[in-house]
Amino acid sequence: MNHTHTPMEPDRSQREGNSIMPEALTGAEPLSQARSWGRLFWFFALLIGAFFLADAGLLWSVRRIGTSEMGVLNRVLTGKVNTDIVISGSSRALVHYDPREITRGTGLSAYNIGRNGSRTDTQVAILKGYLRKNTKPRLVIHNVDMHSLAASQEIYDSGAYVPYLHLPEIYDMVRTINHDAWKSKWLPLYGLAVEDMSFLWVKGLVNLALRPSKDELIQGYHPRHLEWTGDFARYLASNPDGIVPETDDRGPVYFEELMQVCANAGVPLILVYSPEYRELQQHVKGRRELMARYQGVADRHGVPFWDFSGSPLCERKELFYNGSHLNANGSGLFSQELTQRLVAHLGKTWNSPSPGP
Amino acid sequence: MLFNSFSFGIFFASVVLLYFNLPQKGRVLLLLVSSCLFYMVFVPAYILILLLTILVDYYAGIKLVETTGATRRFYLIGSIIATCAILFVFKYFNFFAQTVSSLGGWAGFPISDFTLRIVLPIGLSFHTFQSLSYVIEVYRGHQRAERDFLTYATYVMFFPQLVAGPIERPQNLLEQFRTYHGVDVARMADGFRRMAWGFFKKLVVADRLAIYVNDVYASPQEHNGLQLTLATVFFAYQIYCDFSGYTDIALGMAKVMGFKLMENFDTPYYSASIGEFWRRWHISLSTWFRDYVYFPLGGSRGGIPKTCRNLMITFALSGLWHGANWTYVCWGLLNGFYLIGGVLLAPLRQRCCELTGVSRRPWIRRGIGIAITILLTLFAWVFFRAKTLQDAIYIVTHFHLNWDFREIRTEHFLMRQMPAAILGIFVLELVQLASKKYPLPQLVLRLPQPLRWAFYIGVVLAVTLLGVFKETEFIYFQF
Repeated sequence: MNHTHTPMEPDRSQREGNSIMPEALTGAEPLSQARSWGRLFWFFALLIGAFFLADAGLLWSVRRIGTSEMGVLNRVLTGKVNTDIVISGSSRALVHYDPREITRGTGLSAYNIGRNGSRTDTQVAILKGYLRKNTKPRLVIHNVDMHSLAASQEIYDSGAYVPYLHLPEIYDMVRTINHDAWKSKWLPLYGLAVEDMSFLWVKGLVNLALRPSKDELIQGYHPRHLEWTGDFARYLASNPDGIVPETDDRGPVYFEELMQVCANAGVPLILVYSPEYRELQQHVKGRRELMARYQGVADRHGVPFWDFSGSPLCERKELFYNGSHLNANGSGLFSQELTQRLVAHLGKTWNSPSPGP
Repeated sequence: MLFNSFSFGIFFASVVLLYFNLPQKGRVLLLLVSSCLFYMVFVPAYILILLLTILVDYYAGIKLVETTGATRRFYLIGSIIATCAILFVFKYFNFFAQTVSSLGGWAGFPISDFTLRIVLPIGLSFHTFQSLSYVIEVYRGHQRAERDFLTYATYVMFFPQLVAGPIERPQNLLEQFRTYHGVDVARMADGFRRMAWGFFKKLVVADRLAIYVNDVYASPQEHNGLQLTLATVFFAYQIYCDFSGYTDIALGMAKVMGFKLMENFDTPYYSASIGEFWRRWHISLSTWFRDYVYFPLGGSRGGIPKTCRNLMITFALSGLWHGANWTYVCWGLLNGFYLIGGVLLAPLRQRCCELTGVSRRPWIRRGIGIAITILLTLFAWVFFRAKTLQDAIYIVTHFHLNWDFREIRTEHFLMRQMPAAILGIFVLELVQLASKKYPLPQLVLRLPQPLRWAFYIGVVLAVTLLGVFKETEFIYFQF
């Protein structure tokens, strides 16, 4: 601290001001009050107009993304899938179910609409959107998880839904979780600015310019070519007393709604609990009761529930990259195992006098 | 109500429209009412604390000009004690109680840990110091007592600078509430430009870097040396952009309405010494401590030992002002040590420069000074940001260990954020450096109006699309 300044002598910086923003040039005659307000009005009117234009343009470009999970969502919600077998669920659906394997075994087209980080409420909304926009599938396979009886606290990758807030099923889902969703729907650029942390708008613009065709996802399925990571050890360390499956009041309601949606649409549904690594299963508290609960709901709605927790795949660590996700090798083997069961089931059910389970 | 919220945009637009359509007396009342509303959005009941501070210092100010001698000193001391007591209760009581309890336990005299369950009123430290400044300046005869209660209350509560400064001196701000400000497009445009620059710093730079910093500093033991280093560098930018961005927005808003607030930052990271850094960082606070703590203690009169003592007391208090935690006190003391080191080592530094020939090349000397100052500041920021002293010590002892470029991302900061983070820092540095050489606003003003407007619209769109809007408070709100 320099004592050469007297207490009220301004420092150099105060005398000169922050040079980044010196006083404006005011050489011209000052405008009248009315003209001043007029100029301000027209500037902000143009600014708001630019916001609306940018919003429309960027959302249009995002809807044209053809790759990655955004590409899948775009195809689902614009009626470009139209497949026989739909696979829905969370990230475990996304990485476990290879539609090519299912098609090879059943002769039916298949498409995976699983979404990373989603819970049952989001999955049901997407399925509703699919059923409204695409031709009716012959079967829906829904992957069930440890937390399928819990609703979302927040939306993972919320920016992806911004271009589709005009669809009632998507808007209702988003608004239930995020009460500010009306802002994303009605205020230009709000959704892209606030909700989109993935720079989807950049991806949309790049997509328009370069039209990339290379996609990691195959018919919506994302094969993960990974070896075992440290995620599971960290997950166990953060849950030293065991893992308690999340449930709440709303989760079971959405789970029931899933059955209802398929029943109302006249689409057969199969619930599948895909493989989890054995060590993870052993750390889950109340697992047996949870499976019993799923079975109970399935029985009440006359829906098959296939639990692959006892599959030999669950013993093989090299087929997983963490406790709950199969890698590409593991998902290939699981898809084959599922397809065999599916062929047998379809043979029994679709050859019977009344098709469907 | 945060500046970077939709509701604040509606609030500010409404206040500006009403402000310019009211007569002068009505304007002061409007600013007071809107400032009250602004403050009450945080915790409504705490307006009463603010009101108490205002009443105490308003009354004290009048009494200071009506009395003399010991009575006059009584009103000064009474006002200071009352104002500081409020600050102590809400901000420091729990810290004090826990410290006494810990010391008692260490000394073998267990003392039960009694703490208050109260939330710190937002901006308490700022408006407390602003009120104290008023009372002291009136006592010293540098400011006449404000007899209009509405004007005085508005001075304390003026919403652009209510919760995070700048800490205004009454000589600068009070009279401005009596000045009629007309609609001046050039002035308002300047204000909006300033706000846009502030929003760029806050939303595009600070809030993006905060994601990384929060992840690493939440659990430093789970991150490698590269992440610890990057998080510390990011924090240096985060706190600068957060705080100076807020200041830019505050100054810009005030300018739109015709008010001139004091500058609070002057590119502090371009300082060639810690002394210079503190003349360019949070200028309103550092001058406050200089004028009301350091100089009254004796300043640099009385020789080196007294100068060192006065510096340490001033910076310890400055650290404590920032927060009720030993990390802040350590940060303050560190800066005090730096300044003392600067004073004591000045002859040695000069000798080294002469011997190496650096003194003949001022730009090299300045460059070395800037580099050393940045390193010292970064080291000190670790203590400012860390949750505990243990975390801070862990970080500073592990900067150099386990650098792994494959493990650079954090839980919430995905690698796709890194280009935007680097770009934000690059634009910040480019604009700051360019503005030292070229009058950037004048260059923009020379453009034809359509181009100029297109440029402004482009900037607003860019800040909107590149900004991080997940609500994060301004760092200095917590002080």
